[in-house]
Amino acid sequence: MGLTKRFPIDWVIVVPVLILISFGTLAIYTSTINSDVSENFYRQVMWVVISIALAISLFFINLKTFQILAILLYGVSIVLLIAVLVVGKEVYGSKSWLFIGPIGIQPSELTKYTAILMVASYLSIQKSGRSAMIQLIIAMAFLLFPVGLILLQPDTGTALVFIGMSVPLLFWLGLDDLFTFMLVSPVLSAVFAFFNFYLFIGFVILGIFFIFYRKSLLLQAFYYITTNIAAGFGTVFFIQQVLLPHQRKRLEILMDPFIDPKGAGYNVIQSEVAIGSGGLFGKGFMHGTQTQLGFLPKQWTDFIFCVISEEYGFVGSMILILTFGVLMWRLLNLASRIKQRFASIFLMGMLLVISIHLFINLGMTMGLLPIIGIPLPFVSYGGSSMLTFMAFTGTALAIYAQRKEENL
Amino acid sequence: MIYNPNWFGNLLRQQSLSFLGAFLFLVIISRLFYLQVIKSDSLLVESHKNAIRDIPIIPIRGNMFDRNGILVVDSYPYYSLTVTPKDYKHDADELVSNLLNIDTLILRKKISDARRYSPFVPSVIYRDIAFSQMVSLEEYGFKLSGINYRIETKRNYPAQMHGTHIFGYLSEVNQKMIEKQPDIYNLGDITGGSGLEKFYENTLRGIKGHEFWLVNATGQLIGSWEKEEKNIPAINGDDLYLTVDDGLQGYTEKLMAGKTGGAVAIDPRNGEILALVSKPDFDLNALSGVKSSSIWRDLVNDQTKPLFNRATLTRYPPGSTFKPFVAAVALQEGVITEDSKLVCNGIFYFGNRGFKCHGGRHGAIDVRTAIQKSCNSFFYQLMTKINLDKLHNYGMEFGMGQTTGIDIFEQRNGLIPSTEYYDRVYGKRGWTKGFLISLGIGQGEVGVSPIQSAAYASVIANGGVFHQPHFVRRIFHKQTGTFEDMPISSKPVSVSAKNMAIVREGMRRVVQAGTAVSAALPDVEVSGKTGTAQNPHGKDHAWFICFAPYDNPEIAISVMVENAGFGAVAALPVARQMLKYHFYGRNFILDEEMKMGVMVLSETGDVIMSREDSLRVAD
Repeated sequence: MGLTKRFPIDWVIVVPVLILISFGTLAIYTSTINSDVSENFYRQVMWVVISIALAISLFFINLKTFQILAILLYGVSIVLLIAVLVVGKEVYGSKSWLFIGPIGIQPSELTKYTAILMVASYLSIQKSGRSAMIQLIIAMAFLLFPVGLILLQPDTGTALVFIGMSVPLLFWLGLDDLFTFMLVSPVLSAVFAFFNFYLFIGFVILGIFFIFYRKSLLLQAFYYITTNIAAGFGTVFFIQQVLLPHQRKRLEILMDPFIDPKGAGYNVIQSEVAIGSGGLFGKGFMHGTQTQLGFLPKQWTDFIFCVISEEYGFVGSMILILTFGVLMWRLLNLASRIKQRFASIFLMGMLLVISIHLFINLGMTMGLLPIIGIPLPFVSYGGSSMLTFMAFTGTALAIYAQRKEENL
Repeated sequence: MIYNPNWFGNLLRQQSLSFLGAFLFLVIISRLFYLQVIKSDSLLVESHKNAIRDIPIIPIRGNMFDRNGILVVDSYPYYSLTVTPKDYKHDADELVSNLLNIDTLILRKKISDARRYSPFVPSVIYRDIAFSQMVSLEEYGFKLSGINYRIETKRNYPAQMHGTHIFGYLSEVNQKMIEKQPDIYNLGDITGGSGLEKFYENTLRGIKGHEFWLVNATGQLIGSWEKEEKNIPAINGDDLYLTVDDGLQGYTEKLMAGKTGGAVAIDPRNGEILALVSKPDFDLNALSGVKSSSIWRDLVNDQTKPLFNRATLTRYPPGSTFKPFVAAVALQEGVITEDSKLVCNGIFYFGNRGFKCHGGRHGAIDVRTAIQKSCNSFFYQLMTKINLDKLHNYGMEFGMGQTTGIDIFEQRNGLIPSTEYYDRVYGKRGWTKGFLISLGIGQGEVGVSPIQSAAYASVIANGGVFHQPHFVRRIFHKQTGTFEDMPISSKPVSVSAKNMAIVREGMRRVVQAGTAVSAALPDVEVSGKTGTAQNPHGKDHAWFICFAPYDNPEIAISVMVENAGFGAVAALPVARQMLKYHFYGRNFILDEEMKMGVMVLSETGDVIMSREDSLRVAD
């Protein structure tokens, strides 16, 4: 009893994570056991065991030690990212795998953890003589330096996770909300203009309301309007006038996969069919035809959500999504209430990594976003991903055990 | 200030991020709801399309039996190769075309046709593959995703008759049929192309069944779906019971071998067609399964036109066989009575044009003698008195001026001209009565086919009722196990029984002591009429019509032989042998042939069958 008193366990993190791992393991079993990659199930079980062991080890580490460990781990992951460019193995067109004997790892996955640990650690150590602004920029450099290396592989999906994470993290750290908005809005304008011109117009108008509500300077308002209009119209002009027909077609497939149902659109269509055909209650364990008959290539990795929704239906999928919701709500809750800067920054970073993976992965499988190959945390097949997210989990649990709160 | 460390994780930031997260969750959940609840049904259909192959089970086409219950058409199974284009990979093109020994381009065309039809449905690309080909395809099976087999049936003709123009051939459905009846026909299906096969297509075809199979993403059949509970068995086609007499038909085909023309035998009591032969014909086996385009092309280009049904599609002047009809009309219209005598001087003048009679001067003769001696002058004179349009109307009633309504599609209107016809052809004042004189002897602008001629002979035989000639007596419905009798359509002609009797008597005399004495048979009283159709393009066409027995006729025959000269010489012997077969039976014919060694059918010594042929008749 003394141990649990000294190291209290946050079951609101542990239980959802275990549920997600169970979902994933079951789905990997379903989708691989009857195929020629049936060993994937056993590999995944092995990785789950290793990852849980890692999480338990991290759980007992002192927070102060983490802050020092951060520098070491970050350094190692940068070295691995460079190594992968030199001796890495190319899989599906990107050099992202390092093999140690039969075991392959993806340094870019692990870096998600080490970079956030590094940023949290750096910003939590009080430094004198440097302005807060400079510290912030250095912290962001720690976060974004790996992006360059990752883009060299090239692994755009993972790079996108880092970039996408940095903005809300900056905001969390204290970046002005109006400034954050002005930073993000041109990008959003471009994206919206790409998908739907009216969406873009609506977004710009909403933005103008926000700008005036925030009583911005006239110059800021002017900046906002010009950058957004330029981004939106620029995108449209670029697509219509600059791109060659075949390049434009490739973009159109992103929006309407049925233009090319056998080629680029195949995965999206099959994925939507798998999800939709599951219906309310699903086709049942081992009874998903899309899954069992192999209509989705590599469904045990990035498209694992299809397997779950086909076999367990809307009810099963909602349980999965709400489990993520509980975990994410808990992380935001802890990040808000724990007053140690290291803890709060780390938990927020972890929350953002999980959120971006979740929304991009589900958005992709449901045909809302173009195909960006990133895994579903705790669920998708893959050792590196499992190790990374369990490292996050172990650290989060350690933070919970050693937290200092005002009202807890 | 754009950055303030004191704002770190404050309430605004907590709330903004909560709000953003909640919003994104809402988007994801809405989309999930849309896909899994709202669009679920249609996507379920899509997933079935992916994973379930509806393999049609082709029903066995109905059989045909002759009037005595002898099986004359049935089917036997063979293997066809199908492709499911969605699962097929073009890498296999070369392998498949080599194994099947067909051109790669043809194979590609077939597969692209199949793809255009439906990527998900297996379409036949090659019929009747040899066992050795099947074995090699099985060996390569692992490479050939999307290629499967289907058992189909091929027609078989086990009896003596060939029935080329009765049964008709089978062919693959065309695009138009598929578009018109997409529920019934798939690409590569077989349908009746002519004859009874075409006319009774809906009866013979049966109803397709469905077998549902699970396939994986590479198109391999994995197993049955839903434990075969959803499978629908095929319903085989219904059987036709024909009016045709297999023996008589087969024998007539042999009698007509080497000739060009048609022979039709009808039961005058009910219009049942006992035999219908058109020569030259072709071997239906050649078109019963795979319709090889070269065989088809050869048939189409054949100068002797074997695809052309001469028994039903020709239109030749009936010659003197027309005379009994003209006599009947004249009697009924009161132009003459049975005792009226008209004088034949060997030549008949109309205006200053002379029409010759054959056989010298017949003197003053009545209608019976005129038929007996086939006196032209007599009928020329009748023709000057008969109203043309009346003649036309009677012709229609006797089944000559129009199609007879037989149950195959290959038929044509005959020509019994009317005022309207001459007005149309020559203009209102462009013709005179002189144009009509030769109609009296069945020459000129009058034309019939053997089937029409036989129908007409039947009307005379039965004393004045037109029974629509037909091939099918009844249909056996496989599903209910019941027979459906085919209705017979009959209509009496407007010639009195008394007048018909006079004409019949004339025809009896033709065989007793007229132009067709060689048609006489012991024990059976035969009546008939020869005819020769003048042919401006070559040798005349020979006609002979007859019926027997005189008192209660059970068979009426018309034989037409193209470019063969006189009817009595070329057409009559065929009819006589048919009568012999009908009345004395098969064994009599065999005995007769045994005695003669060779089969001699006409007084001219015209050998139409070699000894080998006659032995074949015996088998």
